[in-house]
Amino acid sequence: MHSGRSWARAAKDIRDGIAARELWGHLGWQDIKQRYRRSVIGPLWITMSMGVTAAGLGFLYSQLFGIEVTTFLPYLTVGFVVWGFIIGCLSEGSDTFMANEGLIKHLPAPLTVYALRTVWRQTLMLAHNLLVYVVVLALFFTSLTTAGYTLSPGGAPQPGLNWSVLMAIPAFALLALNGGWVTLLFGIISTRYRDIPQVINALTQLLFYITPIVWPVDILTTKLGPGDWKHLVLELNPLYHFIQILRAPLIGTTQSWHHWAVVGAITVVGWGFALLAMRNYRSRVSYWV
Amino acid sequence: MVGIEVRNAYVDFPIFDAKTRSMKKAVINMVGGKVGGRIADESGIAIIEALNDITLSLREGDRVALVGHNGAGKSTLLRLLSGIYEPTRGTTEISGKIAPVFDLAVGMDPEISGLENILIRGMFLGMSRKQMQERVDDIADFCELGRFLTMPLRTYSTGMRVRLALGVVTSIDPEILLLDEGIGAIDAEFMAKARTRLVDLVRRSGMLVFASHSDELLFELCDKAIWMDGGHVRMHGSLREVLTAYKGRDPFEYMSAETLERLGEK
Repeated sequence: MHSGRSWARAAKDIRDGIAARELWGHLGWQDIKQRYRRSVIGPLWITMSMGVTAAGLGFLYSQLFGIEVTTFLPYLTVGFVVWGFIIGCLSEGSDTFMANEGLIKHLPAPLTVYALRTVWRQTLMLAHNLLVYVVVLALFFTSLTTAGYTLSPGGAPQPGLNWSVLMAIPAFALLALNGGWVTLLFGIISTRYRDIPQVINALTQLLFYITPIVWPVDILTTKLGPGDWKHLVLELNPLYHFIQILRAPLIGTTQSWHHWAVVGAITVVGWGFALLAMRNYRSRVSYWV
Repeated sequence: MVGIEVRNAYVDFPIFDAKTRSMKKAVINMVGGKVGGRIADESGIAIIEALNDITLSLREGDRVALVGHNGAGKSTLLRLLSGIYEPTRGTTEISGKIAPVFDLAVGMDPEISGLENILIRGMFLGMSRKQMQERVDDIADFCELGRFLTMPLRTYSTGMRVRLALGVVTSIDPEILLLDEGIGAIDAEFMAKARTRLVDLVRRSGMLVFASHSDELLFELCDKAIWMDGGHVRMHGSLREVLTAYKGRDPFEYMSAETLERLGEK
């Protein structure tokens, strides 16, 4: 057994990593600036591409499903923005330590720094994308604040946007917290088993379509009727719950505590596994990269 | 108290992508020649035993040279001493602020400016952003890069990168300086300047471990030496003793009296 396996060292890594705020903060920003360097509008490209996608798909799908575009476009936009954060944490998170190979092999630093760099970068991307949300909100404010609006013809009436929008803050905090364990755990596993990032990539597309982002949950409920077992497709998809806790407050749809409960449970279990991985394999990462 | 204690430390690398089927023997097999660590085979995964049973004790004020053939384990030992690799068996205890200067092609971002790299490297070594900004002028002064500091690092020559890296590590008052051979790329004039600064640092409160094949650089910077061979410490003693054994002759023999005086070897 190697001496590197200890809870104390794993905890120290995480503590020191968090304390190096300036470092991962700087690195995360650097990543964003780097990606768009020498382009005229720089990181605003993140916002632009999100805006174009959301507008285009919003119009297309609202026509396909026969839904009011004024409420469906905000629904789709927010879904996209949250999805971007989640899938970013998953795919770039699993790539974290490999992407930082040079630094890991040449400078002694806590692994947590690299994980936080990744999560912070995703947070900054989300912040850029939120500009699209602000624009959409301004455009469709009246429709979204009308109590009783529906997301599909004959769908459940929604409470409409109100002060419960503030729930988006703890919801995002919970999402970012999950980004942390995902990056640490998947990062460590992927460094050892290089097939994991490929598995994630292969599943991304499928996950995107089975998660209600471009289609409202209402459609499924109306088609299947309540109590149908096929609802499990939805309930067993953890990403649905993650999307829902942040999307619901932002567009004023019904918030349900069961999503919070599921996400809370995943957070606890996920961090449990991440801490275990940190304890057992933290010191092995520099050997594996 | 600055110091590094290494006790019975092993560093074994698993090599997952090597074709191990042909090597599937229960016993450890030796590779021919003296280059590289031993390659063992454990449950189908090739293992490179880069360091074997290292026991070392380095104290404040030590200026240690690492000598040995290519693949003898010098760079791996430096990474063990820096804490980048934790030993697979055995223990290392490192107390003191570490500043490593290893392979200069990595660990710095080629796309960002020298100034940005100074900030990031400093922060990696435990400084705050503000502390580094205060030191930027001093570093710029020392490494004489002038307006090049605002250019992306990819426009720098190897020697210029070494200057930058040395500028950073010497500015942050480290206690343990670990240098790999890359720093040989700098010119003699700058070496003289760097030497004064490095020796000064070690005298103030620290230690230096320097891996190199260049005797001249070792004379300048070190007074003790470790001879690495096949992942073992073959010899540990004064620079003169170890180099004499390693080279098979006394490298100080034909030096002038002044040189010996300057290097502290009467």
